[in-house]
Amino acid sequence: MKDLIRGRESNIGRATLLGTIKERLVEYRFNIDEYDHLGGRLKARRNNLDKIILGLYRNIEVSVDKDEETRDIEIELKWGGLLPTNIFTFVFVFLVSYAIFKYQGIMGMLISIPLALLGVIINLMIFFVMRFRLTGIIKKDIMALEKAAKKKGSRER
Amino acid sequence: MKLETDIEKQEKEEEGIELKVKMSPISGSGIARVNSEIVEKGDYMEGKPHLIQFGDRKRVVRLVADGMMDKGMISLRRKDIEKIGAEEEDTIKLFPSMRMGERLQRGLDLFFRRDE
Repeated sequence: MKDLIRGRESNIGRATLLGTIKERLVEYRFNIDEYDHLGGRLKARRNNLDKIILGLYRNIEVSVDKDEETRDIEIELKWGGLLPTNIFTFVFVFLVSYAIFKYQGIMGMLISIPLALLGVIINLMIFFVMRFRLTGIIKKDIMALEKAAKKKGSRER
Repeated sequence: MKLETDIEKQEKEEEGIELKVKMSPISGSGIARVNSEIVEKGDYMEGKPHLIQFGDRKRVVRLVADGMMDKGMISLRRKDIEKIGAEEEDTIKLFPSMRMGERLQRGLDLFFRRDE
């Protein structure tokens, strides 16, 4: 799953953009695995146990490219970990609800399956909310950086 | 109960790095960006809570390491700068991350002092 953010004629450098995205990811409790500010690449993940249970386990790969001639920027956010976290959530919710309803025999198992599916749906909803929130906030940060760069440029003149 | 001697107190006050404030243009609070060299020292950890102090005002922030960040500077967001009463170019002190035991100890010290 990918998100693409594009900007035209940007005054911000690639390293500055990547640094800002890294800051936001740390704020969102991501652990940074790889950070190449010169190459414009970043890899991060959230894999604390509480995040897995809450369905917030995610990998993300960020790449920032800037065309030096046109000054156009392209930020790609590649999301991963969707399948493992959904499987984990399904199994976890199933086992917990089966532990509660096991005295009902087969009915207990039949109740646990839709509950586990509900857990997966909630997991997916939380992911989409976080994804859109993070993408929106990165766009807002780019605008703030552009504004600051313009202010600095006009002050220097 | 642990008794702190004057020497131990002085040693504790000497911990920490002095850094100049740079205002970050992005919104929010609770995050500080510093040069990667600081994080490589070992006492400072990326993503963990650290204490910043300006005068008698303190604030907890989480650190982000960046090789492109100017050395000797710390990038803070507007809210955090306002909360500690500082301005851009002021010098603040950054203290190493507190382990759980230290946080509990500080909490207990406050609790016992209140009883007295």
